[in-house]
Amino acid sequence: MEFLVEGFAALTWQQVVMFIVGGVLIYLAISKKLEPALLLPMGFGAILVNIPFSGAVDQVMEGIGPVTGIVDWLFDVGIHASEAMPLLLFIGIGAMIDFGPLLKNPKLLFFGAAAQFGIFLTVFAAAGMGFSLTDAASIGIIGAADGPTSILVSQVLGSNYVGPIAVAAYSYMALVPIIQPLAIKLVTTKKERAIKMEYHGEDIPRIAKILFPIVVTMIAGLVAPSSIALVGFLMFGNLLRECGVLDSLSDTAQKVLVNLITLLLGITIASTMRAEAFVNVQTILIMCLGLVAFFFDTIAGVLFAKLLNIFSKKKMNPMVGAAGISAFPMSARVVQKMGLQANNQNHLLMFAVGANVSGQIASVIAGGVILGLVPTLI
Amino acid sequence: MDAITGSLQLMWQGMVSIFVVIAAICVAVVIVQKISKKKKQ
Repeated sequence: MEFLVEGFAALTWQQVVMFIVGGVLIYLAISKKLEPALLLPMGFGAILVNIPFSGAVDQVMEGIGPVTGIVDWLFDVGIHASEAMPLLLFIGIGAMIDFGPLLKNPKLLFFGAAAQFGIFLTVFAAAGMGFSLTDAASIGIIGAADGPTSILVSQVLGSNYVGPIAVAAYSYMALVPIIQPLAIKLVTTKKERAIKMEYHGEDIPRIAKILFPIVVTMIAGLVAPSSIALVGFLMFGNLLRECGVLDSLSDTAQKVLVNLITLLLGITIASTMRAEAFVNVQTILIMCLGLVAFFFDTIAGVLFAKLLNIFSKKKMNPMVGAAGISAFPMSARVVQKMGLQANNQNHLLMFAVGANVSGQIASVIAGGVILGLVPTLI
Repeated sequence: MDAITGSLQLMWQGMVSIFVVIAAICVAVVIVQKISKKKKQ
């Protein structure tokens, strides 16, 4: 009857730490409602894969030989082999996004580009801390504020830290309402935050909305081919939404597909959250660097807006630049709320939403650009 | 190339690449808008 206590006897302190990490993630998901769709499965998965001799992960069983575990199998098929899960998730995300506010103000696209700076600053900081360039780039992509992109880039680059990167990406996305106001206040005055912007809503022709995803895919593909899988799947989802003849497919992509992939993605990522790979100093460094990435993304977006204000007659509220990160719609909401705090007549939401969706495009382009450039720099 | 030099190169080339792609998309959006507005008129 010794086998009944084998599990307890084999338990290591690192595995106990992972049980606590799993418990904390579940607590944050349920009590604080922080990205519950991802953090809850990841938290539960962290417990599942760290139980000694867990049948959920690959094992070599005495007298039987190698046995495939379901979590490792999902990871091999859904992420390792083809990055299918994060890419399929992009179809659903694309189907959810209305690019209308961006099409009304195409210059908002540049805020999305500027707010990716935190990624590269973090890559530099990570490289300075001793991480290899591939690992540093994988850590930096946390600043894309886009979970699927972070998972995909770190996996393709063969990073050893896919688990901590995914946890950091999703945790900080949930903490955007806390991180961004601090960063914005650091680089703006109350007077700047109170700058009023007039919104002139006019209908965007349907043909423009249909052409947008096609044009973006072609341009991104021709200029940065390595971004095409990410951009293409995002834009394919958006084309389903805007074409007007595939409403049921668009609806399925937005609800069923997203829910299904999200359900599996969280628990699948847990495959990389095994104690031996997760409980180390690097994980703590990655969590700190992720915070740096989000912080400097925000600062870069705001400073870029301030730079534009120097050259333009019609001043723009610099907080709109902060919405250039991909965390949608949290970032736009933060800007709207802070705009109203500074001036109760100041409604920045439509501008912030435009910058926010441009952040979604820019973050996947950033992911593709990193995938294309890093191999040439090693 | 060491990781720090590589990261600086990545910062420079990466930001330029992102801005180039975004600028190209922006130009395309403006052209599409103008054409569709003209057709509407």
